Amino acid sequence: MKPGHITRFLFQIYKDHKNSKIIYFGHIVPTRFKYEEEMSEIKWNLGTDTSHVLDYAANQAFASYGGREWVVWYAPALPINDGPYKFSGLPGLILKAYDTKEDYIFEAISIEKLKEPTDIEMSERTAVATTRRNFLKAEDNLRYDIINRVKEAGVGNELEQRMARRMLKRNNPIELE
Amino acid sequence: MRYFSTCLFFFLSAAILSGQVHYTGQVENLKGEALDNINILIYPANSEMLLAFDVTDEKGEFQVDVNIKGDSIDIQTSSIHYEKQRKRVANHTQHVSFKLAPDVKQLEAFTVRAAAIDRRGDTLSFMVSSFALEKDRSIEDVIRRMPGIEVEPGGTILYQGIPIQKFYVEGLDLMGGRYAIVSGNLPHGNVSTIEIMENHQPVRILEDRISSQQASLNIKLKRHVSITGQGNMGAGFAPLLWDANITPMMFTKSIQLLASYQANNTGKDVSKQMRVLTPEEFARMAERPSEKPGLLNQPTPGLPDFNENRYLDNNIHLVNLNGLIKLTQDLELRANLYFYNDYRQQESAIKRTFYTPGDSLVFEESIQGRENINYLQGEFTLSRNVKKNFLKNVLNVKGDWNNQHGLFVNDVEDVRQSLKKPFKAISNDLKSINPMRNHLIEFSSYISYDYSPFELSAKPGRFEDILNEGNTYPQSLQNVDLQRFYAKHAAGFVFNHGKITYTPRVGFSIRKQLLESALNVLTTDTLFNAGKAFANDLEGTQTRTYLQSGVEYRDGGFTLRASLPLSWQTIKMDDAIQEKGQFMERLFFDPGLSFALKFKGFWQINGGWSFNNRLGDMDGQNYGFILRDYRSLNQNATPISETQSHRWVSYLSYKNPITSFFSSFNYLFSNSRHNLIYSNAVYTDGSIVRQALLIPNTSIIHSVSAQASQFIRKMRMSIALKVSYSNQAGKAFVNDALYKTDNQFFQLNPSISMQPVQWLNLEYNVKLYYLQTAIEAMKSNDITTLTHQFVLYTLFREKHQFGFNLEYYDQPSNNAFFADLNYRYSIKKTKTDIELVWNNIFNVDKYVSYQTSSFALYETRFYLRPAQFYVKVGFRF
Repeated sequence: MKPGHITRFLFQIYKDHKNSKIIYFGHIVPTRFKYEEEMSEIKWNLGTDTSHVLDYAANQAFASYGGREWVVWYAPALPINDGPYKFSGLPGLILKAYDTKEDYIFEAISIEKLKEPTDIEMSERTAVATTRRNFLKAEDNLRYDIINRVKEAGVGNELEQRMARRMLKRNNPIELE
Repeated sequence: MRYFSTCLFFFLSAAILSGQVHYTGQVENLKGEALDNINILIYPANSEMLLAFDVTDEKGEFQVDVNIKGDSIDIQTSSIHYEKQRKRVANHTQHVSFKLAPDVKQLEAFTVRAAAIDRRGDTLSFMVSSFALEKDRSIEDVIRRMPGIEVEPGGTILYQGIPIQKFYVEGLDLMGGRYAIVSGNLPHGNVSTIEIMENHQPVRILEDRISSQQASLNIKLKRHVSITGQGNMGAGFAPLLWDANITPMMFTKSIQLLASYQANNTGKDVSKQMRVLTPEEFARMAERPSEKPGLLNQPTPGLPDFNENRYLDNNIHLVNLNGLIKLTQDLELRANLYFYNDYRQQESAIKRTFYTPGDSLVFEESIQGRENINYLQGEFTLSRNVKKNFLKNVLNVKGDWNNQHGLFVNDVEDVRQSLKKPFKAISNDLKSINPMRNHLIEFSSYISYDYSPFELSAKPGRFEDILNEGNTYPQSLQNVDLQRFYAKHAAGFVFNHGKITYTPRVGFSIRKQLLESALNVLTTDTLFNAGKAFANDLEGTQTRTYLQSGVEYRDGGFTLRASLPLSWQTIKMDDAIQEKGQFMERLFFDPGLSFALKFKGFWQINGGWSFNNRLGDMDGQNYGFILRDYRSLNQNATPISETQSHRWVSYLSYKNPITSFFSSFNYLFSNSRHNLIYSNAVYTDGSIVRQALLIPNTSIIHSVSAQASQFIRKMRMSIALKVSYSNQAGKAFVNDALYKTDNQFFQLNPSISMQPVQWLNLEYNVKLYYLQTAIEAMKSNDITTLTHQFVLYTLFREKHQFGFNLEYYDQPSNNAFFADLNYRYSIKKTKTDIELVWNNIFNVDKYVSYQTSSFALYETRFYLRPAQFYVKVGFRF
C-alpha cells in the first residue's frame, strides 16, 4: 500500500440503524444493483489494546468479513456507533479500520461541524435487488469478461485494450468472498 | 417440589462453572422516560479496558454477560445527548438502573491533514496532489482515480456514471465537446484542484427553474499562466512515411489558446476529429440544406468495410487554432479555426452489373483517382450567460477548394474527367432565452448562404448520339452554379406537470435557391452549347410553417412519448429556360408514438411507430439535363418527390451480469410509398441516362437481428453469436422495363474471446455474409464472403505492449490474407512512448468489396497500401 494511492470506490452504502440493515448500491455494466445485509453479519470481538487515534483514546476490535480479517480502532469518547465502509456497531466511532494484509486502510481525517442539519439522500434510481453473493459473482465475471462487455458498447480495438488493462488493476477487491 | 430443586441446581451450576455474570438494567432520563441508544460499557474496576458492551433498546433496557474474576466492576453510560455516568457494582448477577441528565456534547471539529476532497454546497473539490501518482502524466490520468469519476475509453468523463455536460478550465469552455484533447494533454502538475459541480445548470437563467442531473467539471490551475502540450513524431518506409502531431496550449484566467499541427501520409484521416457532432446537432441538421451539394461527382467506388488505413493513400497537413477571450465579466468570445490540405490517390477497378428481366449488362473499368482538398473553417462564438438572460451567437464561415481528377480505362476508350468543386458557405446561429412572466421562452434563429460553382470536364465526351449527332468528340464541359439561402426561426416553451412534460414549438423556415447550368461540347473545331434541353435556370422557394408538440409521460421504468408535429409546406419552382415549373402546398401530420419499459431488473422492451411525409430535396430537381459525371446524364422534370412511410421499430433485451448472459433482439419494418421512380437507360458503353417518372411505387423493408453472449468463468472465455437478416423489396425501371426487385442480406457472426492467463487476450471471430438479388422473383445473383479474424494482444501493466492481428478474406473472386504487428515501449522517466508498427506484413495489394442497389451490383477492386513499417515517438512538454 503506497501512500497517496487512493482506491476509487464506486458504490454507495446506506446504514439503516433502526432496522440494523446495510443497504449497498453498486453498478456492474449495464445494471445498477442493490442488496441488503443484516448489520449483525459483522461480529465484533473486543481487543485488549488501547491506543490514540487523532488524539482520541481508542479501543481495538476485530471482525472477520468478506474473506478478510479486519482490525478497527474506535473511540468510546465519540459515542456515535458508526464507522467507514459497512462497519458499525461498536460503542464509539471507528476512526481507523484496516485488513490484516493492509490492502485496505480507512482513516478518519477530519470531523466537521455542519451549519445546519443535512439529510442523507438515498438515490431513487432504479436498482435491481439481489444478494451479496450474486453481486460478488457478477463483479468477478466482469473482471474476466471486460473485453466483451466493452465490445458490446461498440468501441474501437485500442480502447478495448485500454479498458482491459485498467481492469487488471482492479484485481484485489475489498470483499474476496 | 423435587422437580423445582433440580432446576435450581442446574441454574446455579451453570453460573458457577462458566463464571458468567449477568447484568441487566434500565436507563431513564430525569422525567423517568426510557432512553434508547445509550451505550453501556463494562470495565474492570479502575481500568479502561472494555470487557463488554450493549446498547439500550426502545424500553431503555440492556443486558450484558461478563466473565471476569474480581469483586467489582464499573458500568458506564455514554451517549451523545446525555451525561456520562460510571457506577461501581459488585461482580454478581444484578439489575442496575441509571437516571441521566441531558448533556449535549460538542464534538471538537478537527482536521488531521487537508482533506483530499472538500465539499462546499453542490461543489466538490478534489486536491490533485492527493490523488496524483508518480506515473501519471496528464490530468486525465489523475481524474480517473478520483472517487465517483470515471473516464471512458474515448476520453468522455463520467461522474456517478453520467457524462459530464461541461468541461471548463478556470471557468472557461474552450473546446466545447472536444475536451479530451485538453484533459489528455494538460500535465497534472499545473493543476491545483478539480471541481465537480453537481446538478450543474450551465445556462444561468435556468438555474432555479430547470434542475439538472448532470455535473460539470472545472480545472483550477496552480499558476496564472500555464503553457503545455504534447507531440509525437513517427517515420517509416515503403515509401517514406511520416506521422507528426504537435499540440501546444496556453491557459490563463482570461485568455486560453490551443493550437495543433498534424501531418501524416500513413492513411489516417485526421480531419475527421474536427467534426464532432452531438446527436442533438444531427437532428437539427436534418432540416437544413445539405452540408455540400453533390451536384457533380467523380464516380468513386463504395469504400471497403475495413480499416481505412489499409487503403487511404493520403498526404494531409492540418492546422487547428482555438482561442477564447473573456471580454467582460459576462461576455465571452471564442474562435475555433482549422485548415487542412489533403492529397489523396486511389487506384481501383469497378465491375458494374445491371439486372433487367432476362438480361444483365456488365461493364468494367479501372480508375486512377486523385483528389486535392483544401478546406478552411472558422467558427466565432459570442456568448452572454447571466441570471437575467442567455444569448449565444455562432458565426460560421467555411471554404472548400476541392479538385478531383480521374482516368477511367475500359474496353471502349480511356476517359479523363476533372472536376472542380469549390464551395463557400456562411451561417449564423443565434439562440436566446428570456423570461416572460413566470415562463421562459426560447428563441432560435439560423440563417445560411452557400455558393457552389462546380465545373466538370470529360475527355473525350460521351453521349455522342444525344449531344453530337452520333459523332465522337474530344471534350464535354458541364458548369453548374448553385446558390442557396436558408432561414429558420423558432420559439419554444416547456411546461411541466407532475409526471407529464409538454414541449410545444412553433417555427417558420424559408429556403430560396437558384440553379444555373450549361453543358458545352467541344469538337475538333468548335465549342458549342449543347442546347436548351441541357441547361437550367431554376429558381426554387420552399417554406415550412410548423407547430411541433411532444408529450412525455414517465412513471418508474415506464416511459411513453407521443409527438404530434403539424406542418404546412409549400414548394414553388420555376425554370426560365425550360419554361417549366411547379407549385404545391401540403398540410402534413406526422404522428409518432413510442414506449420503453424496464422490468424484472434485466429485461427491457422498446417499441415505436411513426408516420412520415417527406418532400424531396430541391437540389435533386433539374428540368434540363445535367452531366453528373462523365457517364451519367440526369434529368428530374417531374413534380417533386413525395414519400409517405410507416415505420415500426421494436427491441427486446435481457442482460444479466450475474449469470453473464446478454442477449437482444431487434425488428424493424418500414413501408414507403413513393410518387416517383427513376428510369435508367443503360447504354452499351456503360453510360446512363437517368430520368424521374411519375409512377407510384412501394418499397418494403424487414430487418431482424439477434445476438447473445455467454461468459464461461471456468474457461475464462466468452462465446457470442450474432445473426441478422434483412429484406428489401421494391421496383426498378431499367431500359424501359418496370419490374419488381428483391434484395436479401444475411449475416452470421460467431466469436470467441479468452484470457487463458491474465496478461494475454485472444480473440477469434468469423463473419459470413450472404447477399442475394432477385428480379421478378427470379434469383439474379448471389455472393458469399467469409472473413476470419484472429487478434492477440498482451495486457501487461507496465512498459511493454504487444499486439498481433490476422485477417483472412474469402471472396468469390479474391482471397486476401492480412497480418499486422505492433509493439509499444513506455519510458516513464522521460514521459516518452516508442511504438513500432508493421502493417500489411504479407504485402497484399488488393481487396474486393461489393455493393448493391435495387437493380445493380458493384464489385470494386481496391488497390491497397503496401507493407509498411514505422516507428513513432510520443512526448509531452
